[in-house]
Amino acid sequence: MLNYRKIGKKTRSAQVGETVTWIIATLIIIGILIIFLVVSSFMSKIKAIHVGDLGIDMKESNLVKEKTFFAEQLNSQNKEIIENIIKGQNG
Amino acid sequence: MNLINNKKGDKIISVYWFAILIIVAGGIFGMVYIFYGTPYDVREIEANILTNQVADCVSYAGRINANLISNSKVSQKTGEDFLKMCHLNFNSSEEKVGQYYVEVKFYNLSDLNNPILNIKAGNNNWLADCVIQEKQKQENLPQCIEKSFYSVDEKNNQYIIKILTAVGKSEKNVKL
Repeated sequence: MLNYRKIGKKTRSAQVGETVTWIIATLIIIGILIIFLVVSSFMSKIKAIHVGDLGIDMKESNLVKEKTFFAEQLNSQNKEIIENIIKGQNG
Repeated sequence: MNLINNKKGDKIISVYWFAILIIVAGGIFGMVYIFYGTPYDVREIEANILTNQVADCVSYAGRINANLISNSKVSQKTGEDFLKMCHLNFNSSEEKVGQYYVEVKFYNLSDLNNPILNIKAGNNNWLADCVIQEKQKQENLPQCIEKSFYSVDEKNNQYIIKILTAVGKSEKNVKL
């Protein structure tokens, strides 16, 4: 003879187990979404483009440095002093 | 009776899937909005380009522009004259307030504290912000760049030229 009370209990605990699985799955989905949202927010903050990020051609063509170089070809007196001053000011 | 209960369970599952779909879609929308809603900040590059343009104007191939210093004689220039001379236009139809500021100082090698020529052009309100930026970098304030180089006049007199450029445009480059 079938014990309906036992079967009922088993069915209920199976349902509870399934519900818990769904809840955990939902929490994991929400958690992953929050992580991605935080990462995209962080990535959006570093969207500033600096000169150093550009291609090597742009980085190395320092026009201001070239000007000093050209002027030194015309008058190279006090070369070291001038270079020290410029180094100090340009950092 | 059992059949009715099973149908109810199916309905709940369908609603649950629909809710998950909305949450995931909302999350993806949020990510895209956050990332692409933030503009690229190109002010540093803009300030560098402006500095190069001004440097090219005041000194070419190592010689100072004769319109500024010729045979040790300094010709004072107003900001507007300077902008005209350098083919620069700081007025923009898009912005109500000037977004650029340029300051060029010429120093004799013998006296690096007192400039013999000081040219200022553009919106000088940005200058105060540059001082703050030096102490602590803040995105909302204008980006400032200061560069120095060496140049000579026609008689090979030596000068140090200091260029300070500031670019505002916070609204277009930073998410406020």
